[in-house]
Parts: sequence; structure tokens; C-alpha cells
Amino acid sequence: MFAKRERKYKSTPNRLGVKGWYGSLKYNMEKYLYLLHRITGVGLAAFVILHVILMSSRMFGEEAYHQIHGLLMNPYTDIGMVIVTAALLFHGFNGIRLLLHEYGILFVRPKRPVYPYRVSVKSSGVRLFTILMIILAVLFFIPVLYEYIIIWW
Amino acid sequence: MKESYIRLIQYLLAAVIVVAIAFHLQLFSSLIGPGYIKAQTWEEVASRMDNPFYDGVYAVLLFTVLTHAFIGVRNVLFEFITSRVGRVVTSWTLFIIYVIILLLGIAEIVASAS
Amino acid sequence: MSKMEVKNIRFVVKRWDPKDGRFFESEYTVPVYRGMTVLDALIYIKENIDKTLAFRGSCRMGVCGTCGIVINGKPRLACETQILHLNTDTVYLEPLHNLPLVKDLIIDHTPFFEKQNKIKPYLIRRDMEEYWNPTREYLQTPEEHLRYMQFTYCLTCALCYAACPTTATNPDFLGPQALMNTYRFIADSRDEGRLERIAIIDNPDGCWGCHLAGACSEVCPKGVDPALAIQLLRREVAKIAFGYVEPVEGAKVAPSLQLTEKRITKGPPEFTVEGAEEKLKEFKIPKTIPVEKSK
Repeated sequence: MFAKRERKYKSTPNRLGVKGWYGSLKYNMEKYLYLLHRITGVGLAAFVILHVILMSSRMFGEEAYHQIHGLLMNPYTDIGMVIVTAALLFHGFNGIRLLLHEYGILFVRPKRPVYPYRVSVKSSGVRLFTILMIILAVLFFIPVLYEYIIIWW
Repeated sequence: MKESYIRLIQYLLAAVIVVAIAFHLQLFSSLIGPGYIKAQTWEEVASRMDNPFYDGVYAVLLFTVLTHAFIGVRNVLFEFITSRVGRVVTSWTLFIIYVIILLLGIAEIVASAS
Repeated sequence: MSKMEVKNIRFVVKRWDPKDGRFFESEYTVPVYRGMTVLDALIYIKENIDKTLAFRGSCRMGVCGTCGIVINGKPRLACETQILHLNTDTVYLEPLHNLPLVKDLIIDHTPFFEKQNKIKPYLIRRDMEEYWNPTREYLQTPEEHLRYMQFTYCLTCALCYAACPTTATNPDFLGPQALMNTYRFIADSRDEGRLERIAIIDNPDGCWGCHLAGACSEVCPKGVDPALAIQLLRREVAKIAFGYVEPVEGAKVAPSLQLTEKRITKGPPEFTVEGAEEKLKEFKIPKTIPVEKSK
């Protein structure tokens, strides 16, 4: 979409690439939530595709289902399911935060910048909501973990 | 299509998924559902296949989750693919994969409902 | 200079060699006193240790926005960063990320400014007659001013551009500063080019490339908060996508001042210096300059 002249800057050697997603681990927490949201999102997309393909076995009857299900009956799948559930809970609750904040809902209004500056993502209300969403994700994860622990016991 | 519509769809679907996935995940909880082990037995799976409520939930989940997922993956890929042609090719490739998975899921729901 | 506590701090500078097209590192030890900024240290290095070190800096007080560098992994203004506040014995300096390099710590702002120009950072008005031959200022209340005031404090230092994770992978992404500037003009009650601007930024390289990582606001040295502006901008874009288009009537031009005009037509009192000069020659300066009434 940009002019030819700008194309030459594409080879700027100081461009961080994917490293810029996490940076130097010195940023605000939202940057790492962003990274985690992205990782869990791509991971869940892969899981959903796999899940639909594997579970389609049930339309071929009991035997086909048992064949596929037998392949998945191992502790690695269970650990995988715990990770998937954790990812899903994080993606969901962080997603609620993004859904509201990205349209300026429960966000702050522009104000006179007075030193020391308190930017939007760090202002107390927005931060509290972010932390609340993470706490909710953790709280919902407790019964999930409990369920899996019962099975392994 | 304008990007803002795609994003609106993305966010609206997200809101639907939050509700729909709660019905799907309660199966794995022994507190409000059959529990992790029992939910995976053939009897339970077969009973859910006959239940029109679960067919509805599956249909809603299938469409919303897949659409949400593919729009999301597209957003990530567009950060790496910036040329116009590349983006069109990416969009269509993703769309074809999306349709295949969606058809597979629909076939599954239709087969189980009948 | 009075007695000052001096602490020796090691500076590691990641430098760009434009001839060979590679990075190399140089190490310097700088005696740091209380109140010394990174820019002061760079000036000290250039004056006393290594004359080949290239960096940029101008105002030394966080106004010009030219000395932006990456200090200990985070983009900051060198002139506003106290070395002792970093609490490290080694300070690691790099040129700003995601921008073309010129030499050592100097980066080229060109793509950054080109993207800013892309979003038409000027008032767009429909009445071209008034636009080109302005009679008076446009009216604006303090409340209307406060809606975008925060975003006018931008220095165009490109720190947000270096911190943004989307610009790190997508070279076409407009960047936090350009998008913030878009909202600054959309929120301005004097502007009438809202739809024109939204057409430019409504794409994956525009406002939808932002994923609310908040890194831009975190590093902004002036509290301009580009993350806030982009979210509010998206709200505007979404409103229009929903078909909720409020007719925007740009601010009216202030009515002409009848009173002043009358005074001006009378003209200022004409001074005749003849009488005054004579008196000045006599070194007797009168309390009031004698004025002859015009006509």
C-alpha cells in the first residue's frame, strides 16, 4: 500500500521481528498478555482443527470412535488437555478484556498530561480490570485442575 | 471486505463463543456434568449425538470457533505477509482450509443427528 | 566544581557500521555524578574518550525528541534518563529499533514521518474559501480542546515506533504515532476530514494492526498515550462500520470583531519625532513623549 520509496526500508537491519513481541522483558504486563494471547490463540486454532478431525470419527460408528479414542488414551493427552484448557481460559478472559478495551469501553478518557504521567494501560481502573480477568481465569482453572487430579489419583 | 467488519465479526463471535463453550466444557466437570472420563465413553457420546440441544451447541461452536480462529490466524499472518498478492493468496488458502474443516464438522453433526 | 560523588559506570554501545553493514560494540567507562543523564555521558565519551562515536541530541531537556535510543533494552530519551536511576553498573545502549540506521546510534526517521504524512496531519475543511483566506480563528471550547489536547504533546521521537510489537514484524504498519495523530485530528472539533482519514487507516496496516500491548504508552516520554488514542480511534471506526455516522459540522469561524475594527479604522496615533528629537539632544527626556494629534 505504500510507495516504492518505502520498500527499501523493509531491509532495515534493526527491525526486531518476532523478538519485538516479547522485547527485553522490561515492559508493562499488557505486552506479555498480548504475546500469551497470540500464542494461545494460534495453539487453540491448531487444536480446534485437530479436535474436529479426530471427533469426526464418531459419525462412522462405535468401532471407529473407539479406535481413535484408544489412540488418545494416554497420560500425554491428559497433560495436553490441561494445557489446552488453561490456554482456553486465559484466551477467553483476556479476550473479554481486549473486546471491551479495544473499543474504548471501561477504558480511560483523554486528560491533561500532568507529570508523573499515568497512561491508560497503567491507570488504576484499567489495571484492576486486567488483574481481575487474570484472577478469574485462575479461579476457573482450579476446578479443571481438580478434575484432572482426581483422574490421575 | 472492509477490515472493520471482519474485526466486528471477530469480536461478536468471541462473545458468542464465551457462552457456547461453557456448555461444551461442562461435560468434563463432574460437578455439573458427566465428568472427564464418563464424557468420553461411547454411550455418552452416542446419547449426545441423539440430543438436538447438543447438536445445536455443536453447530454454533463449530461455526463460531472456526471463523474466529481463522480470522485470528489471518491477522497474525498478515503481519508477516505485507504484499497485496500475498495477502489475497493467504486469505484464500485459509478460506479453503476453513471450508474443508467446516464441511467435515457439518457432516459430523448431520450424520449424528440423523 | 564542588565535591561530587562519582561512580564509574561501564557503557556498552551497540554501533552500526554503515560501511561494512554490521553492528559492533564499544565499551567505555564514564565517571558518573549525581544528576548526569545518558546524553551527558554520551557527550563525555565523545569529548574525552572516543571522537568517532556518532549520536544525536539537541535540546537536552526532552523537547526536541531527537536523542531517542534504546537504553538497557527499553526505548528512552537519552536526555531524560538519569544514569543512577537505572541502578546498573553496565548501561547498554542501542540505536532505536524498527527504523533504518545511519551510523552508530543515529537512526533515520524518514519512514516514521512518511507514515505520519500519510494520515494527513492537518485540518481538513470543506469551505475552501475560508481555508485559504482565513478571516479569523475557528471557535473551540476548552472541553472540546481537552478531547485531543493530550495527543498534541507528541515530540515525534519514534520511541513508540521502536517499542511497538506490530511494527517489529510488519514494516507497513502505520505505527502508534501516526494512528494517535489520526485520532488527534478526528477528535478535533475544527476538523471535517473524518471519513477521509478513516478510509486510510481502516485496514490491517492501520488501526486494526494494534493489539493493545500498551508498549507505546509505556515508553512515551510525554504521557501522550498512543494506546488510548488508537482504542478511541477504533471506536470511531466501528461506529461508522455500524452505520452510526453522526454528521460532523466543523467548528464555526469566530464572528468578526466589530469593535476592534472601528478602533483600527481610526488608526494608531501618529508620532512626530521632531519635537522628541530636539529634546533628546538636550538629554532631557520628557516623562511623556509629546504627540501631535493627527489632523
